[in-house]
Amino acid sequence: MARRIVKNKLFLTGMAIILPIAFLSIFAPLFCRYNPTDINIENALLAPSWQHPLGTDSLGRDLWARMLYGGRVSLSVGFVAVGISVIIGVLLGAVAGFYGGWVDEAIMRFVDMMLCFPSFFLILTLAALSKPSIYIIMFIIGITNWMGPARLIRAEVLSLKEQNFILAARSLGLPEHRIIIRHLIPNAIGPVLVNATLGIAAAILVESSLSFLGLGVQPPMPSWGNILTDAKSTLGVGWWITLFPGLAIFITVLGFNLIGEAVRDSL
Amino acid sequence: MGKYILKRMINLAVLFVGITAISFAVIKLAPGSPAGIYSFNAKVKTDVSKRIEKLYGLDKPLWQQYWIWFKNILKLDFGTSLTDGRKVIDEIKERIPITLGINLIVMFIIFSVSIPLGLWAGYKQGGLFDKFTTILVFAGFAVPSFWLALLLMQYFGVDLGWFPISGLVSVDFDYFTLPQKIFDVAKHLVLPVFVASFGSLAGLSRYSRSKTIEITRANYIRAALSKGLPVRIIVYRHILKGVMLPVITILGLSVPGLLGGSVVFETIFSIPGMGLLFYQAVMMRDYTLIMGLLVISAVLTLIGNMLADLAYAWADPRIRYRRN
Amino acid sequence: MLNPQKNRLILLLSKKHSAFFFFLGVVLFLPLAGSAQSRWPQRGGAIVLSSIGSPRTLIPLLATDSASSIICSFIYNGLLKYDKNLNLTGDLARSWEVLDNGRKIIFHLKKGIKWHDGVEFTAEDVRFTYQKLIDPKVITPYSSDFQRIKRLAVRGKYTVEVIYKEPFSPALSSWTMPIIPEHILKNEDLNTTSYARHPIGTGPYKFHKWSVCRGIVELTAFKDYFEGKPFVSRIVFRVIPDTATLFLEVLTQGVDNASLTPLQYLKHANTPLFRKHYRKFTYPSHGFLYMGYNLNNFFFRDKRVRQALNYAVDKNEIIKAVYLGQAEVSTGPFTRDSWAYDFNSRPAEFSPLRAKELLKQAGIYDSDSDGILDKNGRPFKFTIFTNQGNMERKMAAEIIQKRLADIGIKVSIRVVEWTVFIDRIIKKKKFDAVLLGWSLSQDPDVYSLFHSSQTSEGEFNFIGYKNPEVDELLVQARREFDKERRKELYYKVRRLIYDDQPYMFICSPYSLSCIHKRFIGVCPKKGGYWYNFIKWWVPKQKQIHITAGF
Repeated sequence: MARRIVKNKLFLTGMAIILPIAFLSIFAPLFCRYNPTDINIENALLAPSWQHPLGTDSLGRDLWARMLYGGRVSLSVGFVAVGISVIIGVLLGAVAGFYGGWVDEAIMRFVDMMLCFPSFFLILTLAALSKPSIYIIMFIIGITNWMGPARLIRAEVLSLKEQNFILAARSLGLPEHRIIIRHLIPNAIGPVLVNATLGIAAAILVESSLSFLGLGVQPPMPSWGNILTDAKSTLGVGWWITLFPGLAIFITVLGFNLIGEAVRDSL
Repeated sequence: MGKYILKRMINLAVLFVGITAISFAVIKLAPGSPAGIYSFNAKVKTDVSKRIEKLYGLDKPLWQQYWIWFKNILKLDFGTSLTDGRKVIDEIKERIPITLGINLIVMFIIFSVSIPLGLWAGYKQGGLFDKFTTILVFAGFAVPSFWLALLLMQYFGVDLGWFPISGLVSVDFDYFTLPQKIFDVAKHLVLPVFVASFGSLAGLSRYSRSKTIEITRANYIRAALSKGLPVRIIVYRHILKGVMLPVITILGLSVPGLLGGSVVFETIFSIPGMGLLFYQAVMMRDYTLIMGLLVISAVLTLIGNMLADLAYAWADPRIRYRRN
Repeated sequence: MLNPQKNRLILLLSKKHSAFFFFLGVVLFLPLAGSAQSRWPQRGGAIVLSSIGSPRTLIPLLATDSASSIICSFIYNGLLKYDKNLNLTGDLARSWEVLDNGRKIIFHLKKGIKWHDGVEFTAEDVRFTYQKLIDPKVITPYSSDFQRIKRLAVRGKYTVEVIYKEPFSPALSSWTMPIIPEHILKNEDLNTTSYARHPIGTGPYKFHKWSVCRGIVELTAFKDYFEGKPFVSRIVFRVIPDTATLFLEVLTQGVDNASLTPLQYLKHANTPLFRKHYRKFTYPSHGFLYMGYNLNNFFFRDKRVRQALNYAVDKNEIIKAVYLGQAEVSTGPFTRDSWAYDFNSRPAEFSPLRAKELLKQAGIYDSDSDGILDKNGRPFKFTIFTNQGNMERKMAAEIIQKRLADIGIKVSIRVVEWTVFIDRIIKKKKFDAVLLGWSLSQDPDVYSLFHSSQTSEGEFNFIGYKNPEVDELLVQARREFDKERRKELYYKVRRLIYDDQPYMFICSPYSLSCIHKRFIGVCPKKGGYWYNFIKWWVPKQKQIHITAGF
């Protein structure tokens, strides 16, 4: 599977997009001449130049620096949120699939109930009613999107648990939690990976929408979403503030989608 | 059949109770307090407390509060809005047709664009068209909708002046003739509907593409092809049907996504639907309104799923028979 | 006027060279009598206004949001109003007398004023409005001024006598409160009545329709308005929740009047296209931006610290960066358009050195050389809270943060959603400093902001400011009806407050707006430009909206 994936064109394109962005964001301080929160009014709204490759915003902050640091925030929102949803989903899904019976029934009914809600409604409610901080936003996106992974894992576990190696493990008297964690989950994780890659992309978009509505990551911490939100007030006078963060989100989300698609194809 | 229906009904009832419980829990567990309860104005404060008191009691144990509230919503009494004092159910009732109407159009467009797109791309897998649509639908999925909306408003609204920027109808709508009215609404809907559907094309068209590939590889299609049946007929008879059925379910499942998405595009295009109402309720901490909207949006999803099930059963005789 | 064709030609040209041809037009055609229609006000057309939120109620006594208040201002009248020069003048009242050292005010009402349903307006309506204002069951935030009334008596159909418990000079200003109709609301519960969505007033415009599903409220000209029927026949309010959308609407002439951000005002609104269609206006607003200190805070208790902070922050920098110069430094709670504004007041200069000096005097310096000032081992750190959804405040907070960091004070910023802000920060006094704005009414009474009796939960002196001298002056000013003497008192109040620095007064932003050029008769004065709206008109050929037989 791994070899097939590496040859996949979609995968390569996706990686070619994500890796540089991730690299630049992680090592942001190495690539920035300016501090992303340094205000310099004399330099407000400068168009891209050698000095400021992506221009400056309305407070004269270097957009390049803000984009890189914003990338850290946006990417970590994506990864952590999905991490949370995968952990919750995988555990609940595996338990449901493994034990079956009323446990399964209860968990899956709960999944059905959660799926009835527009997840953005739930996210918006929680984000608006609690203090908006980056961690809370990660958490909120995480706990409203675990239903997909849960369903996928459950389906896999259902088919796996009748297979010989699991039956063998059971007859050896291995403790149940061990069977679930050591044997079932690793073997069932494939489809969840696809879901998770797409989930990262979706989480980045959700954060940007929240920012647009004023409920995302709060300033002065930059995220691609809230840089783009600043663009609302500079619409028409600073095309670079509208263009670059929008493009960054676009390209990154595209990258994750391509990777997700590639992983799906190779399963 | 009767037993099957009964089982479905019980299932629905359980889901409904669960939905209300989650809505209640979200509001109760979230930190913070409702609008006005800490207002500077003492009178506003007591009034808000009174309204909440009436809806679910304030000082009772949690489960009792829930029970009171639940009994009320069974009577379709969601209380009154904390910000303007109107009945929550009335406020929502006004907005549902707008959001539902737009989303039906959006669904129709997704349906009628993405399936042919996916079908053709899948049929000519690897061809130029396939590549092009792949890029297009991925782009659609990846672009932040509000960003796209702003760019489109700037370009088509301001620069070219082709479409109105926002709203559902013109200021002079009342004085138009019927054809003018229809044209007016259509003009206002172009941009929002485009923005709302563009992002959702990806899922369905990718799905129908892979389904098409799967079906064309199936033996019966190969047999049909080798028998010399015209491609058109094969596509129409077999592939289209094979693709359409699951798509119905997917459309049913996409209701919550579309409702959630309506928050953003209704806000930016000033369309007074449920999404905008929800956004305003949340920003005002209008608890009763938020709870009402959560429950009703979830119920709409339930209905959507049910309709999809029915459509599926209607379209696929096998299911009907099995159920009988 | 002999040749109508010619007239039209002139008008066409006049769009391009308006000043010159307008002049020509007047000279040439005016003497030729009334058929030169376009020179005389023409009826018809519509004005499209917008608001961010939906209006909540059209009962002015209950309206607290700006959308509702603006709509109400076209539907209702008060007994008095502020004229174009911000002087109080009669509206429903023909005249008024202040007697008994200010304890008694008698209003003489205009006769023959009609409600929109044709019933005559009388003194009973005033009494009814007053009763509703002080009714504990009615949820109005405007009752406090009226609770100072001892007795309100109706003396005949057109005379109202109001007796106050003690002289209360803001009383006159409080009677700009819109009057509501007794004959309709007599038996209604104001809090729940459906009247809130189809009101009846005495104002120049009557309610026509409120369509939620179209996001509009529409008013039409009232033909029996006592100052004459307005020329513009319709007012349409649109709800446009997103500010970016609103501005795009302005660019496409979808909205006729909008307030502008400084950036929009200076950059976007300078394009030829924009100037072709809109007139821009700038006014001193009667609001100001301030940073309020929690005066119970360990550091902020000391007046020197507050003064130091005032020296450490360059207000001009904030004005330049945040408001792009469209604001002026404040020196107290009164703004330039108020008669209580002291034109001799000067703001403190920007001097980080003086700031450090003062802090040192207060025992605050960097004793452990960690780059942060401290006192008794406590590092000087604090959090500025401000509310969400206000870009300017957020930016101003960031600048303050930076400048205070320069002198070794560590500031963090928390942007909090408004209701949380009120609930947890302001009311429970859980803040070090808040960055907020006040927008004051025309009367300069700032009793509720700075009097020491106003500090309990839910009152406006939430910073806990107490100065006996200021208290005394504020009370005196409330009893004084003589404007000149009252002015002196407020001058003193301002000096004391500015010296105490319970707030860091930052600036008073101008209000910037634009209005579509097709409206003729717009004539900005000190009090803005809306005062003569009923006289505005649009030439027939420029009426872009349907008039429909009103």
